[in-house]
Amino acid sequence: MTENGSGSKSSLLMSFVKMYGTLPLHGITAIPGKISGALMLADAIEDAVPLIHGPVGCAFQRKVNPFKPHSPFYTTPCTNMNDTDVVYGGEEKLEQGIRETYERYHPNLILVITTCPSDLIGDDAEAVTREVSSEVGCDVVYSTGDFVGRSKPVGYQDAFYAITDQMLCNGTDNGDLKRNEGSVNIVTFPIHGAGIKVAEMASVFNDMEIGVNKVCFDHTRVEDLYELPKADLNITDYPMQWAKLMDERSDVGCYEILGWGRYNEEKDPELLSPYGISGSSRVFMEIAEMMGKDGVAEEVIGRRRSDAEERLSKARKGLDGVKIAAIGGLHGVGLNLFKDAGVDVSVLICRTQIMEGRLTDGAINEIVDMNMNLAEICGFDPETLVNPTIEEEIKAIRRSETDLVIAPSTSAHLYNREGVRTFDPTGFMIHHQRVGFECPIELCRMLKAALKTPQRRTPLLSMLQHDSQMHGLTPHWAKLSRAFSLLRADTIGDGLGVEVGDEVGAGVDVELDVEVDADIGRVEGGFDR
Amino acid sequence: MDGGKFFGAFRASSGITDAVVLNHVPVGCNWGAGIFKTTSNQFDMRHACTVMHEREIVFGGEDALREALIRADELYDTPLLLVIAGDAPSIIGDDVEAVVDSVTLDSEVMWMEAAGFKGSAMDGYEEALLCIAGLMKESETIQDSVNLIGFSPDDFKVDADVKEIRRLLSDAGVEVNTVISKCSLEEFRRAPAAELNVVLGQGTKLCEQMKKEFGLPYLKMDYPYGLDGTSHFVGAISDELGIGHEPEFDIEPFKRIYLYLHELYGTPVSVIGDFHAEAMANFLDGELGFNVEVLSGNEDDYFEFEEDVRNSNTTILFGSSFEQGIAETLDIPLIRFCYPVFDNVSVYDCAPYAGYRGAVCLTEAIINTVMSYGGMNK
Repeated sequence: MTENGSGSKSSLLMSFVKMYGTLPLHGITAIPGKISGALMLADAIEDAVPLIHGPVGCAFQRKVNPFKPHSPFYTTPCTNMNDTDVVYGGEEKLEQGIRETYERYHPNLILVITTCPSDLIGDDAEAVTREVSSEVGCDVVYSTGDFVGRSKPVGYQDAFYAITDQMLCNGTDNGDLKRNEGSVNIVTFPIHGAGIKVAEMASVFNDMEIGVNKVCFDHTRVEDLYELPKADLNITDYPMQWAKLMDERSDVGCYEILGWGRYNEEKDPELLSPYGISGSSRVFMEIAEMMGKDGVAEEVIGRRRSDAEERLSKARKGLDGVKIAAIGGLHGVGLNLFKDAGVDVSVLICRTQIMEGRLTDGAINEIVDMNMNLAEICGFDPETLVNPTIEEEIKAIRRSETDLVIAPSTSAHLYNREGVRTFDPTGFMIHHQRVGFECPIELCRMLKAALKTPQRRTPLLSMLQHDSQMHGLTPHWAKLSRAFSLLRADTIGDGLGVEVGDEVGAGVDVELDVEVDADIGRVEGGFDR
Repeated sequence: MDGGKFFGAFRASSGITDAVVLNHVPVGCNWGAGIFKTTSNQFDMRHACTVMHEREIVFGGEDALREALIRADELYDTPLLLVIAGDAPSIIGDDVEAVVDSVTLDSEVMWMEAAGFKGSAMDGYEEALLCIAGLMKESETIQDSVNLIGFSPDDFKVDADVKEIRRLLSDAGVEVNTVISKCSLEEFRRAPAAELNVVLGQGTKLCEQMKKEFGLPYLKMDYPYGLDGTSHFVGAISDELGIGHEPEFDIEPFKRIYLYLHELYGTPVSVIGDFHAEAMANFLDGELGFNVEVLSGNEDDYFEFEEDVRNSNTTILFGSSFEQGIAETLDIPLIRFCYPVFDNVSVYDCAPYAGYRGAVCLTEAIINTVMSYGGMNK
């Protein structure tokens, strides 16, 4: 896509991709379940086909991709378990399903995804896949959701772990693998458009004499997956169980860009802020140190940084003195990016309602404190509002003469009708926010464009009643959300004893408003694992 | 592709517009039930979930169900809570009835078992209606009135279609008493007041039950697509009620685009869907003069359908959003008319596909889709 997203194709895709961000069925009023996460992975591997082992209803509803509701998963064969299979076992159906899937599609990988009924009756997916895989001309891997404990998103984590465990590092042919010395894999979530987002990172690595073995997921095929264990290091966004397994079995180290594990030990909020000039410098240096390239890296980072800062100083022109209201949380546009852009964060809005059913008060308070600390580190002194009503927000915005509110499209109209301009962070987060020095320059450009939008709008949306606290929802949907949160907390005890360290460390979403990555975190287990 | 029993039961239950459906299932099924409704009416989401988790699978989901019933009763001001038990509670053997009997709530509670592996979507729809049929009450008959049975609240164009059918029947002197399943609880209770049940594709078991219990006759009709289909629909109902109405339609809109109709005459098309599909095929074939090369029902083998379409000369596909894949593969336009539609919205209730006006709207949609398909690059 073009850098500013103005190309016709990319604009179209961008608006469609944003749709999932507005869909309150991602952890707010419902959760897609493990099958969706596993399908997301299968969909991202070009020559893989998923096989859903369950009743037809599982495949029926799962055809809808929770991250792209307009675009279904096209190929979702299903073993179509019926009443008899539930009583006598569905293993024969699974066996038959694997064979038929191979005959029909000739994929290089069949990813068997079990469902509630097949899990409950105890079908031995392992035995069936082991037996049948030798009869079909492709790899067969099964994922039940049981391999990764509560690591979220369970379906995605589990399926990737299964591929690593059963295929890539299964101890059979993997010993002869010729290493691609001095190289790394960059693996992001499939919906992030890895190829574009990591191009700059790969270029910096190249300068630092670090090779890029594989980038996933970017037209990734099974043969690419087999190459993953050749690298020295896996770089992932979040803690990934498959990467830990690959480290154990194939000695491929792992580096997590969002240092949640380290945050738990050090409580340094900058560890959760890997973007912008300083965040990116830190990440690049840490990776270089792991690869034994810290010497050359220092010069490369310094040169790249200096070049970017020079261009950034030009890009910042027109943003001096601009005040913004930012949304706090673990996700969202990083505060240090605003620092790089030269704007002042005058208001910091923290919404914790959605977290309340899942996290302890202590954990929620820690997230709020962490944001305030990060603001202080960045040199901001914002008025912090926790769970404000829209009226309270508007008052603070007017009092501080704030120019721009960072607000997703779900709530932008509430500010626009009051004559306050907004900047939609979703598109930026999906397509631009990344480790690298170009990102703040792009943010400057986008903020300036937002400052040119009409100050006041009275859109149709502003005529609808919205919930006073969950601004993106109507009162009815807010009720659905509260009901779901309440029932969920009661049933699985999410709200009990869960601290920031546990949840965040596990990669769970602790979203405040619009967080792309949080949405991924919400794709949980079939039994809401 | 069939959705299985759970989805059928959910669709029928959620059609009681002031009831709340409590899905006794793990989160995934509940998500699926919700996702298909988001393109039809986002203000009409009325379902909750017991959020079955591993603990419930091991120790039973009865406590979770009891708790959820109490919470749902507190949270929603509804006259009826409909509990649908899906696959997981069915396998582990939750005693839903005992749980329901053990709580005293403001709302009336009804429950049904609808494990997806126990039947088709139509089975679920039929059984759900039978389950709540016990709420119907003997009512004084309203002369020349009918119930329309077979609808679901997430059918594509359902509001517009029902409105058009009501208009046509009203013109014929027929009053629509209750639309099932798209009615309030009170309307559902008063359904026996009609003089005739008209069943469109599904709901026959309910009609049988009502015939037995209330002596209400029923008429099985095709979905009223097209001019002929609509005339037949209205005429048959009118005859059955002894009204003898001669329906009239306006050919004028078709005259305005007759040159395009010439061009499209003989176009090879394929149709897939639930009970709507055959009626749609009749309209396309009988009135627009299309050649229907492949006609398939949801119960048929989908792979065979795809194969047949690939081996045909099909240039327009009629189906649901699920047919995006094959339409894209074959690079042909897809006209969505049948559940589930999750990549188009239909909110204007004066642009139906059913009835006389629907024939115009549908023809317009077909021509526009063809004319705008691919622009200059194709």
